[in-house]
Amino acid sequence: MTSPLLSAPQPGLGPAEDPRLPNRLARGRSFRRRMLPFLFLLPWFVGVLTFQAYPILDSFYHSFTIYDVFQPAKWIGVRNYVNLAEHDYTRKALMNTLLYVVVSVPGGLVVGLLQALLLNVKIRGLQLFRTLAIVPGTVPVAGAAAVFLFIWSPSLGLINSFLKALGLPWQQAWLTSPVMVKWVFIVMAIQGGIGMLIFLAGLQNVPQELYDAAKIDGAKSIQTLFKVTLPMLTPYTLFNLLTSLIGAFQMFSGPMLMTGGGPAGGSMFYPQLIYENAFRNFRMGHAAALSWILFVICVVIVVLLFRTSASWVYYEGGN
Amino acid sequence: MPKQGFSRREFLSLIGAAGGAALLAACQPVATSTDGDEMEAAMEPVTVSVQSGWQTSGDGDVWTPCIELFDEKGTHISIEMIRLHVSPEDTMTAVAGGTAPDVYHRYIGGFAELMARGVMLPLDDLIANAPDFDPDIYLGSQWDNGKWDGVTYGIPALEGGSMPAICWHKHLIEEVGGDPEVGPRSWPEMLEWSRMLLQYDDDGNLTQAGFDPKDAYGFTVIAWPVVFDENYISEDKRTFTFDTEAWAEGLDLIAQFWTDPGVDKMQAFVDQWNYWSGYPSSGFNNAKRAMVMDGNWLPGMLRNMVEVTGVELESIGYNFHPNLNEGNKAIDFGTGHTLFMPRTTQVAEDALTFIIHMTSVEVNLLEFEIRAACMWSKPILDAIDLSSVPGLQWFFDAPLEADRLWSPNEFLTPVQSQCENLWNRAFEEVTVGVKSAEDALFDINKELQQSLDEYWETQS
Repeated sequence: MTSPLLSAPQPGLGPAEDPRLPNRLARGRSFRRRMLPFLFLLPWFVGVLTFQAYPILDSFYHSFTIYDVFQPAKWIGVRNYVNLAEHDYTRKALMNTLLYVVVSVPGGLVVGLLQALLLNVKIRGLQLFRTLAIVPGTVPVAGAAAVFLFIWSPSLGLINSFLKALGLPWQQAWLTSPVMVKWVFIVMAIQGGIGMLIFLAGLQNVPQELYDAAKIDGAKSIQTLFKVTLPMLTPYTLFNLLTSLIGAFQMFSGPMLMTGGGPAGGSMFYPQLIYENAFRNFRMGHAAALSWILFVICVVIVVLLFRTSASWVYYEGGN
Repeated sequence: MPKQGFSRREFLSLIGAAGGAALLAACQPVATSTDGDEMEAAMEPVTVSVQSGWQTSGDGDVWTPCIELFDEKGTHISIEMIRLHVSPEDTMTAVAGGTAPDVYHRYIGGFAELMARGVMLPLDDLIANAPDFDPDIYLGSQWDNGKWDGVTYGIPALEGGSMPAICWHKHLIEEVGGDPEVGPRSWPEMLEWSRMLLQYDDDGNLTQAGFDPKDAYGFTVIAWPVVFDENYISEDKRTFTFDTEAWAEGLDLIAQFWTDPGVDKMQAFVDQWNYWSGYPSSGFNNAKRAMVMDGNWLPGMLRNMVEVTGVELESIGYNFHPNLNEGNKAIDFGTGHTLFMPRTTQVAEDALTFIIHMTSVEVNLLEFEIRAACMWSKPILDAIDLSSVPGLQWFFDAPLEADRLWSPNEFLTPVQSQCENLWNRAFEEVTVGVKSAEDALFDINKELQQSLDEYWETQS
C-alpha cells in the first residue's frame, strides 16, 4: 500500500504534483527491492569474473599464442598443442599423473573409509584418536617434505633402516630411481585426511533404525557394512571421489620441494610441467595449452562420474 | 627638521659593528660546500630498495658494511635491503605485478632471459650521464657480465674474475699416485683417480669421493663449454648445439663420476657433504672430496674455514681444469655477479648512484676483507693484497697463461633457465641409465631449439 505521505500534495515541489508519481515511486522501490540481492551478490560476481572467468578465457586465448608476459602475444594457431604431443616429457608427466590418480585416489578413499569406521567405534579416548588421525593433514607441505626427505633417504632414511633392521632385502634408492620415486609420492598420498572426516560425518548420519532392522533380520557385521553402511555412504563417497580426483590432478608441492620432478622426470607430474613452462621457461602459451589439456581430461572424468553416479549413489530422499 | 646623514658618533658605531661582524664571520669555520652538496641537500630523500640473497647474514654479510659506507657519504638516498633469494621466476612476476625492488643482485646466468626480454632497464644512457663512473675500469670481458645484444642492462659488482679451476687436496692426489703439485691433466686421469679415491663405510655408504661434476661450479651449464672446448649455442644465438660429438663425449665422461659409485650412494654423499665451498659442511673444505672445480672465491672460503674444518691452506693445489681438447688451458673470464634495475624502477638515477658505490674500491676492499673475493677492476686490483690469501695468486695469473678466455656473453641465451634445467635433466637421464648421452642431448637440443625459435619469432 502506498504511503499517504507520498500521495499528499506537496506545495512547491513540482514533481509531487504529477499524478503518476506515486506509481513511479512504487515501481522504483520495487525495482530496488528486486535488485537488492544482486547488489549483495555483486562483490562475489566481480571476484568470479575478475579472478576466475577472465583468467580462464584469457588462458584459452593464450594457448594459441607465443606469450612470455613482457612482449605482446603472437598468434600461432594450434602449434602449442601439436608441439606438446611431440614432447617426451608431456607424455611422461601425463602418465605419471594418471598413475598417481588411478592408484592414490582409490587408495586414499579406502584408507579414509577404514579410518572413519575405526574412529566411529565408541571406545575410551575416542576424541584423542580422532585428533591424532587428523594431525598429519595439518602439517604444512614444506615441513612434511623436509621430514619425508629424511624418511626416504637411501642411506640414513627411516624406511631403509627399518627394512634393514628386519633383515629384509628391500632397501631401495627411493628418491634416486626414476621408477621408485613416483611410488614414493603415491604412497605418501594414501592417507585419510579430510576424506576421513567426511566419511565420519556420513557414518554418523546413517539412521540407527537401518542398523536395528538389519540386526533383527540377522545380518552379520560384514553384511551390515556392505548392505547398509556403504550404500548409505555413497553420496559422501562420490563427493570424496570428485574432490580427491581434482586434488590428485593438481599434485604439485611435494615433488616440487622434494625432487624437483627428477630424477630424469620420474616424479614429474603434470602441474609441475605447467609451472616450469610458465614461470621458468617463460612459455605461457605452452603452459596454457597444457592447462587446457588437463582441464579437458578432468571434465571428461567428472562428467563420466556424474553420468554413472545414478547407478551407484543412493540418496536417502531420492536422487 | 629631520636629521640628514650620520653623526660622527653614529658613523663610528656603524663601522665598529660592521667590522665586528666581519671579524666574527672570519672566525667561522671555512665553508666546504660545493654546488653538488647544496643540490644534494636540497633534494628530496629517496629510498632505493635492493634485493639480494647472497652473503646477507652472519659473518659473511657483505651488504651491511657496504650500506653503512654508503650512508656515511651523506646523500639523499637511503637503502632498503631486501635479504631474499632472487630467482628469475620471482623477478618476472614481481616486475609484471609492479612490485619489484629498484635493484636486483644476481649471478648473471639466471638473468639472461630477463635482459633478452626487456624486463631489465637498459643502462647505457644513464651510464653515459654518470661522470663518476668509467666502465673501462673492468678487466677483460668482466664488463660483458651485464650485456645482452650489445646493450648494457647490468653493472658487474661484488664478484667476478677468473673461473673455474681444478682444485685438489695434495695429500689425496699423492695417495693415488698423482703429482700433488700438478694435479690431474686429463679427464680420463681424473676419472681413474676418482675411482681410486672412493671409500665406503661398513654399511656401504660412500664416505669419500674423488670428483663430482655437479659441484660448486659444475652445477651450472655455463661451466661445461669451457671444459669441453665447445659452446652449446651458436654465435648469433639462434641455434643450440648440444647435439654434437664433443658434448656427447663430455656428458658420457662426466656421468661416470656418478655411475661408478652409484647414483643413490653419490646422492646420499651429496646430501651429507654439500658442494658449496662457503658452507662449513662443504665436502671439499672437509677433505671428503679430493677435487673440486671452483672459482676464485675458493681460497678465501678456505681461509675463513681454517678453524672449522682444519684444512691447511698450503695443502691445496690449483691448476687449469682438464679439457676435452687435451692440453688446452681455458677459463671463464668474468661470469660473476651483477646489479640490475628492473624497468619498473622510478628512481633509476638514484639507484645508479648506489650501484656505482658498489663498484668502488672501498666497497671491494671491504668485500675482500670478508671473503677474499671481489669484482676484478683495475683500481681494485691495485688496492688489494693477494699475498694474504694462499692460492688466490693462481687465479690472477691464469688469464695471462690461458689459451682461451671465455666471455660471459658467449654462454648466455634468451632461454637460459630452461637451458640449465634441461642440461640437468640430460645429466640425470644418463646417470640413471634411461638414455644414452647422444639421445639425451638430442632431445634437450630439440626442446630448447623450439623455445629459442619462439623467442626469435617474437623479436621479429
